[in-house]
Amino acid sequence: MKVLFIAPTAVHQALIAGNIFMGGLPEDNLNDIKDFGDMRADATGIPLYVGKDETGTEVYTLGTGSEMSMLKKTIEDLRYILDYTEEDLVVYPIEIKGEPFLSLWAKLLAQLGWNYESPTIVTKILQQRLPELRTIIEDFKNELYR
Amino acid sequence: MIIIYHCFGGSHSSVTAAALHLGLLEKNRIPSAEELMAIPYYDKTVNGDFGHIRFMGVDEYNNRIYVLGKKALGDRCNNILVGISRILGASEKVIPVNTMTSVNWFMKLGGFGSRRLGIVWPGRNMVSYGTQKAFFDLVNLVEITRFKSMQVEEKAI
Repeated sequence: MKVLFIAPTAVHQALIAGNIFMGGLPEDNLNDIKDFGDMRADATGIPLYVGKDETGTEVYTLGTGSEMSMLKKTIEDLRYILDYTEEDLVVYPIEIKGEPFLSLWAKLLAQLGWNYESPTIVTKILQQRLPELRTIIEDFKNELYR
Repeated sequence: MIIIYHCFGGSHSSVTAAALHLGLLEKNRIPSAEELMAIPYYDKTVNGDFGHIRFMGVDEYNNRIYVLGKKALGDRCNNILVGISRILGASEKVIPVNTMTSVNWFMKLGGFGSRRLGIVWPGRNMVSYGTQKAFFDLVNLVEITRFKSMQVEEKAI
């Protein structure tokens, strides 16, 4: 099975979600997550491979910009057209409070050349959202493996 | 093989390209506005259609032809479709084609007026005129795509 976390960028909350899902999130410093905040990894639109969890489920993230719900439909349609099901690929949107500000800020700074790491303010806000994200992902994982 | 023609609204250039691919339009003659309007989905999509991959038909090589309205995703849409196919282990089965490269201002303004603002007249006339102006660019794009699909098919064999 494969799990794809989608969010406005592939390298912020989606990547944190992927790492929580795999049980490998560094506690203190989100910047220790591989590719965290690196907008160069988000630039092409190719899903980012995060790793495998303990059951062998492959985890990916994808940046959707402001079109998260539209792209969810597209990916699910493509999955259906290719004769695959939710057993093969689960698409899970990550929605958290303050989202428009986070992605706008990260994208604006990326345009200005600060694309290699997460801006401090974005990292701090995401750090504050960690408990919320943990709950969301743990619930999702329990539901998935029930 | 699955060929997905995509443009902003999935309503004009992608639908015209898909119709050309399927032989619903003759490729050596500019179609009339009535012929364009007779194409399934042409200038008929609604907001809920954005993001849905809609089936248009099967070509003579058994390729399935689809259209998609992807809003402002641009070429990123190609990478997303190929990337998802790759995750599923089916990247060689999908050919995404961005038809926005053939879209002119008449199509953009007419399509926006007709589909987004609901001003069917004169939006529809403008978008039909624009499609006629872009017609041979679309013919060229479809021919390249057909050739590409044959190459991919050959490689697979």
